[in-house]
Amino acid sequence: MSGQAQLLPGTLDLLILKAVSLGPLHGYGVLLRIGQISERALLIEQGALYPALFRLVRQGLLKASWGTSENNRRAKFYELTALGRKRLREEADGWNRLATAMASALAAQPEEI
Amino acid sequence: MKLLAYLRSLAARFFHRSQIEDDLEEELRAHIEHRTDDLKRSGLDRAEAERRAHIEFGGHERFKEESREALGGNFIETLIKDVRFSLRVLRKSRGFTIVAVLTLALAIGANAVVFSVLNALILRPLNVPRAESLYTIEHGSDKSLVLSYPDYLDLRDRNRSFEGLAAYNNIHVGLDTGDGPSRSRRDTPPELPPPHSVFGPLEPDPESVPPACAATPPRSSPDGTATAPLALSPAAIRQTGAANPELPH
Repeated sequence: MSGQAQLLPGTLDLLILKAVSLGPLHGYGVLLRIGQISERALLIEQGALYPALFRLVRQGLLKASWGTSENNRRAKFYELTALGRKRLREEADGWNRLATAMASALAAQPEEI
Repeated sequence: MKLLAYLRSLAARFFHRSQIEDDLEEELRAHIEHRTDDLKRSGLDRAEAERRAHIEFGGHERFKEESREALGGNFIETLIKDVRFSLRVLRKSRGFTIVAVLTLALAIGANAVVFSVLNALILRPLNVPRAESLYTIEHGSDKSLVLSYPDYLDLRDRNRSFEGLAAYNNIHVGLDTGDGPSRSRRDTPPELPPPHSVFGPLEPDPESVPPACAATPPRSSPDGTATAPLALSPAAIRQTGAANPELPH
């Protein structure tokens, strides 16, 4: 498990929105997609995904419908709503600003001060 | 609009609860099955793949609980469950329900009656005879209890509605019972009520008045003017610390 980072609180929602924005996914698919786009660098407890998914549905950011998966199993598929798309944009901007600020702060050299 | 949506989702939850519960169960199962499929594809046998999938998923019941919470507040869920369960039990045993409701109704009714009687008679009796016919007079316009003395005299002299009228004014006085003076409020009748009565229509029932509360009798001065009588309230007596202060004359 070395090289994997624990998620910061609040980042799971953003990752789910991002994963689902690339195409409708069922729960397990969301997990795989996050693993794929984060190059397996993030550690996510599988079960923790579902409370987060339901929360996002309740906030109107995702909508869910039952369908059939590629394994020919019944599964619930999630996709982004217009509100979800907007939220993803806002949160991604916020996150990028924070990450840039943190990176430049941590990269500061003595001679720059 | 938001409230409407909330109520609708609440109603939906109420009427389709088992549906939601089934959906949740099926969705979590689907996840584990998909994971099992993947693990099998990587070379594990079915039993081992299932076992691993369950372990990787983590606390099934915990996440189910959290999911229910995320779906719409577990408090409401529990409350609805409890209420429905109680109603079901009560409907099933009607005899018990009727007896219980009657018992409660009688007990509450009896308690309310007893309390209101006790409250009126013992806990908060007005210490005057026929307290029910005692009224306060106030200005109609500003609800003020303050009247000028001539107004009071007019009211008193033209009074045909009441047995008697009494007014008082209150001033701050020094009260000294021997341990040095203390500030005290003094309510004085502006004039002497009818003879032998300190308080006029407010004359308390002598039997129920603590002896220490007795008042000095009204006295007439030789020139015909009267001095106001003085009475100490039980609170004033407690405050001054005198068990049975000698009333000044």
